[in-house]
Amino acid sequence: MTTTRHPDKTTIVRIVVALVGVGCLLLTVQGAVRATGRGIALMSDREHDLPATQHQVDLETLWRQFVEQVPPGSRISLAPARTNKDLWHQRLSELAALRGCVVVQGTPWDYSVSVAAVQRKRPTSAGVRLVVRKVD
Amino acid sequence: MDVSPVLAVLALLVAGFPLAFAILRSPFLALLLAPLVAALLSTVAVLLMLVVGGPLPLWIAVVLAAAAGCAWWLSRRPGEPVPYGGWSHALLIALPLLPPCFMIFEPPYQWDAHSIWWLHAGYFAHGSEYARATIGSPAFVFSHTDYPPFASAPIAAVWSVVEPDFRTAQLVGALVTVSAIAMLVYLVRRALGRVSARVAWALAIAVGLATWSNVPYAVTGGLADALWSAAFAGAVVALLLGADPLRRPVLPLLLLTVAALSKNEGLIAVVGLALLVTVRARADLRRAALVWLPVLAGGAWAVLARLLDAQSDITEGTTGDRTAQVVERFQLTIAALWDVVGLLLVGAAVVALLGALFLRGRRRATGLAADGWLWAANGYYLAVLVGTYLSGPNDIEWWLATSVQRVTLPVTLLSAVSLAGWVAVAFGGDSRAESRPVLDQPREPALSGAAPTATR
Repeated sequence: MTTTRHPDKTTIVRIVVALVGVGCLLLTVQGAVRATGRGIALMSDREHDLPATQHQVDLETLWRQFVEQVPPGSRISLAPARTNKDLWHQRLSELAALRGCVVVQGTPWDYSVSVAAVQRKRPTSAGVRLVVRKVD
Repeated sequence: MDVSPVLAVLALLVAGFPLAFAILRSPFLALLLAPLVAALLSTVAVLLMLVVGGPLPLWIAVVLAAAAGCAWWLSRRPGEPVPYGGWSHALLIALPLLPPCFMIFEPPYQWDAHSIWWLHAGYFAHGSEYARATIGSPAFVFSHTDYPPFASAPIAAVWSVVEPDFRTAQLVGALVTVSAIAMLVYLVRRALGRVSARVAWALAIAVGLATWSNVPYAVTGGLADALWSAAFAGAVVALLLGADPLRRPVLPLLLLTVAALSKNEGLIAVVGLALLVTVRARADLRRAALVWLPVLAGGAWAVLARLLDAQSDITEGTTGDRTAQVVERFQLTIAALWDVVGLLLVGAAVVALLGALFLRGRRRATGLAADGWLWAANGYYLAVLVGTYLSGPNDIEWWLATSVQRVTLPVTLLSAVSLAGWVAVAFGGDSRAESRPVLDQPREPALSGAAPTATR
């Protein structure tokens, strides 16, 4: 006569805990797998996320022109841009702080700064330029 | 080719290495901890600059000199290298974290990175007078100038020497965050010292990779959420999961300070953890009092920010009479939390319940403290989160859509830590007899006494 040995309760619980636990941990690791795939795609194709690339190119272009045309510590007045007014107002405030400039309203200023849209020559070239006017 | 990002990374490693080595006594692990230490030193320099005045490079030089002296003094004291400090262990920690870091190729365009962390770095880099004026300026309320300086300080240190550059900022932020995640992985591995090495490493790495679970750009996008969450989770592992939480207190205290000085919710989470650790280690209150030092550091920043007229959107927003909206806000908040962490929380709760009912003896044999401490920390943070969403001034739908994925990261990490603990217990040997797992390091003497008293 043969006897069948059933696993005890603890063994069953250990198996369930291990299976559910590992399953949940795999769920949390999925994000890292997705990030890896997206990172590789971004590395191999600069236009993989074109809106993000264009925003970066625009902002870096504005920053470069800001450094070239506005001396550190200047008092600047922000003139509203024709498009994306809120976006560029905030971004120009940030660039001013990075340059050590003071954004003023109404009081005397050294430079008026704004953003103008330009036609992109390529998908990844700049779509904006900085408009700087020095007070006479 | 612009070499600023590479030089910035090297500077961070060199600046943080001496103190990191003095803490860990392992050159390989110290290399992983160095960016976090360098960021902490930069933060001290920024705080001194804001309080005393003067340019940031001067304070960086003073703090680095003091840190070098401190490192020299610490390394002359008797001490032993931390366990799992070999080069192979450091590689096991670092290599699995690299693939998701390919997200560094994403353009540096995250809104909060520019509007908060890099903007703060910009005004810190211009010295005390300019920084003080900008923190209190109504024109920069959108930037949350009351947020703590940790995530911005290392970038400010670099930008005080070279022209600001967003790629450098992105790389420095990612390096500091990965350093925090590496310490989380290391501390989980150390806590699972009695488990088979293969299982323990796999679980520790899984917990580290969980940092990317909700937001793929969390680590490399220039935000502070992954940074404080990983540091906080690492401190929780060391202080609530290990058998003797205050035997090696420097690393967890450092991580707690990072969490408290990275984001406002980090400070609130650290207060909760300090309470739990005080209760857990109530037999030795003098040592338990150490965990309140990071709370003091975070509190000091909160006071300084107030003195500099920084405004908080949470405490100073116009809430008005919204009694009727509370129910709706609650429902929306719970629904959003469920979407992000619901399934994981249920899974972790089922595992924890089964474990608590049937595997407690095995857990003690594995040298782990009771899982209830982790759930208390997680529950406390969840309650604070829900309370903030209910009482905050922002439009709830917009607020949840723009933040819930990021601010639930500590919940995800603590759930992953709980799961890792129970899976380690399930994979462990027989609780009635000492198992002989495959170990890759001598057992820590302190863990040998992991008796019920030590696992309160």
